[in-house]
Amino acid sequence: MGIRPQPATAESAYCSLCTASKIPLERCRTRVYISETVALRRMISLHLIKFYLWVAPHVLLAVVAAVMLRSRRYREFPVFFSYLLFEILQFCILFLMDRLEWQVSSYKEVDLLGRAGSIAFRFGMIQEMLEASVARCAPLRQTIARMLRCAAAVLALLALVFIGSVYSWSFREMIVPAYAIDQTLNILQCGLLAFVFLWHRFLGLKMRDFVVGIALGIGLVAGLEPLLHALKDFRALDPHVVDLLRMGAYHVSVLIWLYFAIVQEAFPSDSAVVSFPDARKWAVELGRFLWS
Amino acid sequence: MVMIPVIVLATAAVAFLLFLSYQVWWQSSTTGEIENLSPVDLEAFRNLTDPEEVHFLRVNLSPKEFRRIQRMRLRAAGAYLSVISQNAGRLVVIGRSVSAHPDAETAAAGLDVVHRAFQLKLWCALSLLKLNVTMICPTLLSPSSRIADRYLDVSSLTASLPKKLAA
Repeated sequence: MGIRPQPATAESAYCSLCTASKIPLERCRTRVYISETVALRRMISLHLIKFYLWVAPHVLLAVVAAVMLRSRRYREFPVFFSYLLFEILQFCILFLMDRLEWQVSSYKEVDLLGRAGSIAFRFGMIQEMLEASVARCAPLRQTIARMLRCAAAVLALLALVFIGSVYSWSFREMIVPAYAIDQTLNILQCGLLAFVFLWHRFLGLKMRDFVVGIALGIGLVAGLEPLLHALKDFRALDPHVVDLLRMGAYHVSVLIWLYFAIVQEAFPSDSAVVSFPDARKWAVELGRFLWS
Repeated sequence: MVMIPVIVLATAAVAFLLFLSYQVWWQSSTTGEIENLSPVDLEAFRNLTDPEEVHFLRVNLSPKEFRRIQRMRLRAAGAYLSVISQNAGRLVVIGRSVSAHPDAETAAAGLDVVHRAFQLKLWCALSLLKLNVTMICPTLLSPSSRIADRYLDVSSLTASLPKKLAA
């Protein structure tokens, strides 16, 4: 018995196995062909799904922007509208760079700048949601801006401590520690979104449907992002699956924004929650309480 | 060990998404209509927060009895503050509604109501916090009665709106 040569290819390795198991060689070759075809189909499907999840949300963002233009909501939510345009522009640039096969380093730089811009816009959107409760009163908007800065400072510290404690005992396992900053900002955004909802409840104000939709969309992405990062960094899931989940979450967020942009709101406008006759009635009743 | 950060972040993500879902459900279930304003006996509230009244009790009661009585008074004052805070929230809604009036003067009056009611709401929240701290040590701190004046101020402003709205 001599030493068997090492199999040169996967097919030959598989065939060696088949020979050892006494399976006819032709059937063996057919099995290899089928398995390779299945793998190829799976790869193509994955590629198509990724392509769809990359392109579709940005097409829908254009639809959301068009709906906002038609309903003139871009005047009430200028930061959110600007964010939509920024995301569309960013996608167009990255898409062109991908098609024209630019250098990977340039692509990464543009992508990183785009991510930083998206995060900055999201903070602006959160401030916009908070100021929507007192939209026309300029002094109150300044008060709210100050409150938001204080809340952001406290929450940023808490988020930093949280992320530091989560990663401190597995620092060696991390592939890219720099993403901890990204995660801290995501957790900060989650905290600020909670602050927006609690603020409206504190004032006893009903949030506009569109504001609720924006908050829900941002919350879904910001809430899942740290978990998906961790799944990738600690190799708990296949990186392709994590990418699909991340893109899927963003797709769902855009669908939420589209739904709330199109749906008819229960009240015609934010400030006319109470009609003038009702406001008179309550004010008259209040006078009766005070002077009785 | 490696999975601990994943489990922690997964728990945090689920908790946050549940919180978000609950808030969205709560927002969609509220109709936006405000309830009637609740009457507030401002004289009784002023009596509960009067520093001279507190001094009188401190001088004429034993320390133990004073603490007991003062805690009861603080609980009552807290109940009044909660009602004033709720009314302040309703006044914010009324003010916001009036601020959309086509007449500039009326709209400005509505904005004024929003501004003052908002400040009153914040003051009520801070006063409630101070009240809870005072409950721990009633001999050292006492609540302020300025809330009553602020409430009267914004309520009078709101009560004058019907003339503007009728114009």
